Amino acid sequence: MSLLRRQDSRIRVGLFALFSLLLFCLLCAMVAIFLFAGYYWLFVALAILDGAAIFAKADLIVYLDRSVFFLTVMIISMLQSPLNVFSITIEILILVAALDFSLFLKKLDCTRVHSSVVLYRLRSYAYTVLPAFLLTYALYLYSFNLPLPKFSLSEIIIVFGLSSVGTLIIVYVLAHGLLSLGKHNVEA
Amino acid sequence: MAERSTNKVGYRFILLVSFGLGLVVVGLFLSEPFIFISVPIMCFLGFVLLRFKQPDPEEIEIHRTLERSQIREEETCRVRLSVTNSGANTISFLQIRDFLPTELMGDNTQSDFTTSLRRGETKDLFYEVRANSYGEYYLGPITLLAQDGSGLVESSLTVHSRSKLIVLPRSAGKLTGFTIGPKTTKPRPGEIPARRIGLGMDFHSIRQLLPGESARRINWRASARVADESGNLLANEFTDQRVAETLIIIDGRSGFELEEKLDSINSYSLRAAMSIAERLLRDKNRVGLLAMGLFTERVAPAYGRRQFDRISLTLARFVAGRGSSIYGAGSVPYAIRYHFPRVSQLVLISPLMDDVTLETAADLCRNASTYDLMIVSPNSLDFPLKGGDRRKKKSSTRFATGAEWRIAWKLAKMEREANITRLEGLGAIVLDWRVSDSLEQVVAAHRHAVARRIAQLSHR
Repeated sequence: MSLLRRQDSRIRVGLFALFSLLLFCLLCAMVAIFLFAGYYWLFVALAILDGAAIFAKADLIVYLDRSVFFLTVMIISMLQSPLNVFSITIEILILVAALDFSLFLKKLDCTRVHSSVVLYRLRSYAYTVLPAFLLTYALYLYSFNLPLPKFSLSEIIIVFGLSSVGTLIIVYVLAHGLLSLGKHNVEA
Repeated sequence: MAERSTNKVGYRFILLVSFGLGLVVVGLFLSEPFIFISVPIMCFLGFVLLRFKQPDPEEIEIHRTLERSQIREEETCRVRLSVTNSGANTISFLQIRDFLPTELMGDNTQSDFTTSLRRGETKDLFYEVRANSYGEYYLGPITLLAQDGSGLVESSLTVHSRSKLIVLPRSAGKLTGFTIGPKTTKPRPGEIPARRIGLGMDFHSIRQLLPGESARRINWRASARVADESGNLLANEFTDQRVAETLIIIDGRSGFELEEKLDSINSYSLRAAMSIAERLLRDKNRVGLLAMGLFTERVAPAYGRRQFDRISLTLARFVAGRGSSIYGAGSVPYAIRYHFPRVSQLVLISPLMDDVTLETAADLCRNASTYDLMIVSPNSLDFPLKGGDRRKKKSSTRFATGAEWRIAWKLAKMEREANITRLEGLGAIVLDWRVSDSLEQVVAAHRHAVARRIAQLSHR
């Protein structure tokens, strides 16, 4: 009987996981219908994969699937209309917030949830997503008025190499430094 | 006791940073629009870092309180988790998971919570466990998972807080007609007809009325039949009613398991033991217990409600298995002589499924100079026939065809009947209990046979 219960709990998907899946499917549908109708098959495939991963309780696949979705939408929108800065900024931040919230809902699955947790998370977007939008938009407006420097091919290769190494180092330092920074904040 | 908390950067943070920096790199190499994509992501991360406060689950105090420490099978018990944030910061996301054994998981059991805690705030979280099976269970440990406001960093902590919950086996129902008739009784008034004259209810004999005796004792019909000139009257004599010292023996070896714990043959044995112990103690008898499973458990004979609690607790801790060292032909009579020397009635609860058990039961009958033996035997052959769908499933998985199954079942039934007849021939009273019927029904059905048997044995 205990074995049956264990199998049952593996199959069972909670309400919050379904909400998370619904939100992602809604995002996929909106993107496929309103933005990139030519690539609808890609978003259908991503939504199906996400659903399968949620029912199989494969969290890593859910994360990777949603990351691929984010990256795909960004690249396609940049390639289609590279100079529409306002819409791209809104698009990115909405996607970041929506995907973040969908993953947050997944995290709540199979638990009893106090509504304050959801309110705290929604409130956090007011302190992060909104200021990020304003700052980004201001930076875009400022940068379009500046003359862009021209690089030669050899300079680009050097910059690319250095940047790749730098990217990895920064990711590593940020991931580990963030924890100690947090400790300092708590102690302070 | 708690482990040190572990901190982990969330997938989302790593992915966002990787995206942002990756786009910068790609943008440098290909064209500037890719750098533009990275700007909002970096700004978002920047604002998240500005607001970042690492949650510290070590600052959280958590206590578990159980509504009751003992419950019966199929009962529920409420559990309270009291959580206090004694840290300096508000924890906007706190996930609490209390690990439970699967035997305590009911349909409404939800021991995982997600909540937030302000500085100094205490919250009481409640959930309910349901006892699916008897035994001794431990709730816990508790794991705490705290996230910062944006969910980029999470810290987890395991609190090794354990709470014991004892689930007592349920009884097989209240027994009203259960009677025993041991050879020897204790010198205290009780419910068992003793083999001596006294103040009981059952007729024993007739004698001459003595001067000064109550007229209510006169047997008028008998007096009229033997009436003579002297005018002597005859009076009724009644049997005395006393208490006995009884011992319940449970044979619970794992080889008898046909189902899982909840519906196993051993669980029926325990339920029968509970019912019989309750009945015998209610009749003011001294009752002891010898439970033979993975370990041998003994409860010395005693009276009253406390003794019933002692027996219930021992049965709740009972684990079926073959580890019992004293089980075997000849050992049990010796154990009874050594540990329970004054016992006058044995109630052996056993499915009587193998030669060792049968030899032991026969040995008890042969050694029964000071005690009587009653055997309550849950019928193991009844199990595969129980329930409609289950019967189909069992018969299809355990046996190749229906015909083979029927022949095997008939042979096993004949063997069982022969064994029971043999034990009855040796002087035991055997109650063959088909578990699909209630024990009370079986006792009622065997009532007259048991009374006749007791009368036969008492005249030997």
